[in-house]
Amino acid sequence: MEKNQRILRLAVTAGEILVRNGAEISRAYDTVTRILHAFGITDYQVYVLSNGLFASTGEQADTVDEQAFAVRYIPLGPVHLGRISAVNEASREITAAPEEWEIDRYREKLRAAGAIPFFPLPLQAAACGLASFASAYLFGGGIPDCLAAFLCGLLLQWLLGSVKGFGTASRFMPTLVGSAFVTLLAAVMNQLIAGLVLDHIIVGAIISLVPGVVFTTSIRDFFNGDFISGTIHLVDALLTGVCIAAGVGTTLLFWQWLGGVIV
Amino acid sequence: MITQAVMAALATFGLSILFATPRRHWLVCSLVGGVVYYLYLAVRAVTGNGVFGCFVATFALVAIARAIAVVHQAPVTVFLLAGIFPLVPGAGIYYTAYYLFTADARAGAMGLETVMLSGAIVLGILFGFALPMRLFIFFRRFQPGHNEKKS
Repeated sequence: MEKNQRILRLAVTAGEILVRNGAEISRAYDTVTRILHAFGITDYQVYVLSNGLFASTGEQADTVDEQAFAVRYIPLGPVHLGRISAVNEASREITAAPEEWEIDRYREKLRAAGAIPFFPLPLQAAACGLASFASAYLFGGGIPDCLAAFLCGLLLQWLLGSVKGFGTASRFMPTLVGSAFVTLLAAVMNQLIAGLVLDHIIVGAIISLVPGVVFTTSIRDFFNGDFISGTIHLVDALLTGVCIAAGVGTTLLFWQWLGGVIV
Repeated sequence: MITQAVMAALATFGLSILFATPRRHWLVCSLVGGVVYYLYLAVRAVTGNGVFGCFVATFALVAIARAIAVVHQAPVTVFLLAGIFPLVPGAGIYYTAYYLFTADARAGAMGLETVMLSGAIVLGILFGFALPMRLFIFFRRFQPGHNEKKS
């Protein structure tokens, strides 16, 4: 394969992994162009979106040798800060020693960075429970509410992590089902145990679903002039918020219809 | 207020794990989350304005995150995203949409407050990233192993 094609592929892989795992567009663009620069390619065009990446080199070249092209479709996915950090480090190493014979090793390194797993399910479930516990407190709950929220958060994450291929049907399925599940659980607990405030439990339990991350990323994209990408993330955040409300609202209406209490 | 800050730190810690933050950043992320939330509460208590408190806290978060990113040599994103969670009006989003869903008139007031808080966060982020990078290069001296490199 031509040298420029190999280099471009390397750079684009780095950029793709970053965007796929929730990095801002400007970071992906910086990383791709920095790698290209390190290898001495200055005649390039790179366009990065929240769900796609287009790059080419050798626009001005006379020979075909210097021309290379890459396109990537990047589906929206969950944020993985560990992978973003790892790719960051890998690209630092690449730009420090841009040797052509190292390209295969770098590709492997990037691939490994993109494959770093999320933490094991028990830890994630406990973390979600903890976050729900603390959030219920922050939004005005008493200790019983917090404990109920802890349980809801724990079971929510366990559910989301156990069902394989949950998100493949639709990006918003996990959010809808998750918020409905948590609301039902909270309503049941509220019915059976005195002294709980349903609202506080629910607010705490849904904290892991709330799109604070995506919202923040969209703001940073707008600030950097990446309006399309920013809009993509913003709409994603809004739709997630709507899904949470739909999940919770429907379940509460259903619960009321069944004759349960919602206070 | 201290209890709330501790709770915010715990929430940040939990969320950091959900976002797969590398282990070596856990302590710092949690501390930052707690400190920033405390700042929010303090400003809100002093000025009586929660929206302004949110702005100041977000601004501080971005500045602190940028400094720590230099010291830890990791992307700002790592420290920013988990720390912002206690400030994002998650309850506001939920209540607004829920009131809309059940045709409750409180949706208007809650929606407005949510929008204002979101706006405060946006401004905080904007101003925080507008600070010149030179301010944060100062923090390089705290990088582990930095002083051995100087010769």
